[in-house]
Amino acid sequence: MERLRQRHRGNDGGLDINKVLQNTLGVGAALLLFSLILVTCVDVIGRYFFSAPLSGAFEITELLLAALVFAALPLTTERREHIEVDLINVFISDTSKRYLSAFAGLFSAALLATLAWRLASHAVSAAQDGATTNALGISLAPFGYLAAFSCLVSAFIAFMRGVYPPSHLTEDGQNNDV
Amino acid sequence: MFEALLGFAVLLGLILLRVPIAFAMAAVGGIGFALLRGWQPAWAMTGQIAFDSALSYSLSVIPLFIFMGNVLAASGVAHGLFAAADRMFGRTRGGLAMASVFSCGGFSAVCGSSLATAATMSKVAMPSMRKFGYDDRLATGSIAAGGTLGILIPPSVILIIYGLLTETNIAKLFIAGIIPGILGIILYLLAVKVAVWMKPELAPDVVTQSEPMSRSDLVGVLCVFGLFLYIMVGIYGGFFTPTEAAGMGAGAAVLIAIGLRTMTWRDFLVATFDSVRATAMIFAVIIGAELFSNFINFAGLPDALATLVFDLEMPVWAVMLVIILIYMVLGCVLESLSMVLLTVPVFYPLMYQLPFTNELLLDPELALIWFAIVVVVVTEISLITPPVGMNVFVLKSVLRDVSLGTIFKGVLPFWFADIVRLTLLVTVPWLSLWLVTAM
Repeated sequence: MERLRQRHRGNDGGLDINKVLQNTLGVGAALLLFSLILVTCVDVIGRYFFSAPLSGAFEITELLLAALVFAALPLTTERREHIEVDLINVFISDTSKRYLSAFAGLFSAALLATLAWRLASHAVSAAQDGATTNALGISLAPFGYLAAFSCLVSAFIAFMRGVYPPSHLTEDGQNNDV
Repeated sequence: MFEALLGFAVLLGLILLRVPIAFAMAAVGGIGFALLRGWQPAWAMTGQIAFDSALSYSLSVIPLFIFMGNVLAASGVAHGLFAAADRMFGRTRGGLAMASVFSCGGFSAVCGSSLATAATMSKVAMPSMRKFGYDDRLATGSIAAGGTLGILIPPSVILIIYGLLTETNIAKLFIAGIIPGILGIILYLLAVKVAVWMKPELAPDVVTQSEPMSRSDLVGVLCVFGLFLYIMVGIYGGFFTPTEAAGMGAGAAVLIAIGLRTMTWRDFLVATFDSVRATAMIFAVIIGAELFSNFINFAGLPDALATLVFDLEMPVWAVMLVIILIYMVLGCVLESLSMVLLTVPVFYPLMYQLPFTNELLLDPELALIWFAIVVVVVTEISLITPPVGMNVFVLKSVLRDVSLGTIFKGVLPFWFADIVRLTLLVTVPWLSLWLVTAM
């Protein structure tokens, strides 16, 4: 699937931030994913073979997952891998497709920006209340800031993608691979 | 009730305008809630839900099961599955198509996603079928349909999400998926038989000579079988919970891939990056659906629906028929995960209240498990139904030179097989519940 995408990438203009994102947030998200596996394996193996489960594995898993999801969000947005339904594209002209793509991009950007704002304000109040996890007492606010930051980056990407759609995406936006 | 239906209408409108489903749900849910309850609580709720949805222990299985499937796909074990299935069916007409279906079922046992199963098997099975002159319709149809089994045969991402939405035991849901999954394989095999009997030109005359299985193929099959057994024994032997099974399975998959030495470092990185992006994509849908369901529940749709059903005094079979028809129609325009997230909270309370006559379904827990299987099978059907059959799109993205129309035509016999399976599962709850009650 990766190879196919590269073949279709071609001239993206000056906006190929894919590499930058992959080397920063992508690598971070990958490390979080590996940690997630490690936490479970250490917990289960420790529990059965050494009667020493990892304390707080539950909470660590939760926090790792939240960090993973938000770290990966800009990558997904950049690749336009959010699920879209493509029903009327066959019936409309290229110009209309461009307008439609711009609309979807701006809509996504507005929504992500709103989410960023709400997550930031959620994080601020978490910081003020000193909200922490139950067992390990890890502060929740930094994760909230991470989430807000990631939504903001995603909003920016969605905006740029909406206004300047890469040429191959307007022909064929179906890019899903779960 | 009216507000909720209006919300659904606006949502569908936005989706048709190609707004990503996740963002459309979040916007309609947030704004709808604000209009009903005021902006202040709506703003507070939005931040809370967006953050808490990702901060979930149970949902950690999603990236882990996806990663497990992607790593196994990159490790090449799927090739072994196909080679083994080829030996079983190779000597009959349409044998390679049957082998595709069968190996899809096998890969489903270690992969929780239908799209990943279809994508993996298409790379393995398509070249052979092309080489021996199979018609593209039969070839692509058998993979697109076989791939749908990914969400039914455990592990299954959709069953986990159903379990979380309805607070049903995930271990029991997994075990309930096994017999319907096997039934699916059998009916798909029959569908291939019937298709080549009606249209002999779909499969070549010459009976293909199955290629000898290499040692690595055999090892691949053993690994898949072993991994499935390890997960099942782990869960049902009480060694780990279904949630932990994802982490343990992903760890084992990495060890298998390293042990087989067929995966390059690059393949591994691609599998990892694909997994994290898919995770963000799925969680965007989950957060959007949470916001939307919150609005729908506040607007009182589930209660209104239950009242409506009882006021009309509809018989149970009619209610089930209407629910299934709603799923079939929604399946045409929605993608599978959002469909499950949007509809299950609306319908599942009915399972407690419907006056079932079947003894098994009198137990609300069993009724919920049975409904889960019905929902998953309807979702499988939606994956191959035009115009938005996601599995068909996956095949299309791997095989650029085949038209969507060809794949949809090829899927037709399997679609009928699915309708037969759905009818059987709805009318004979025993099929889904026997293993659950026997455990």
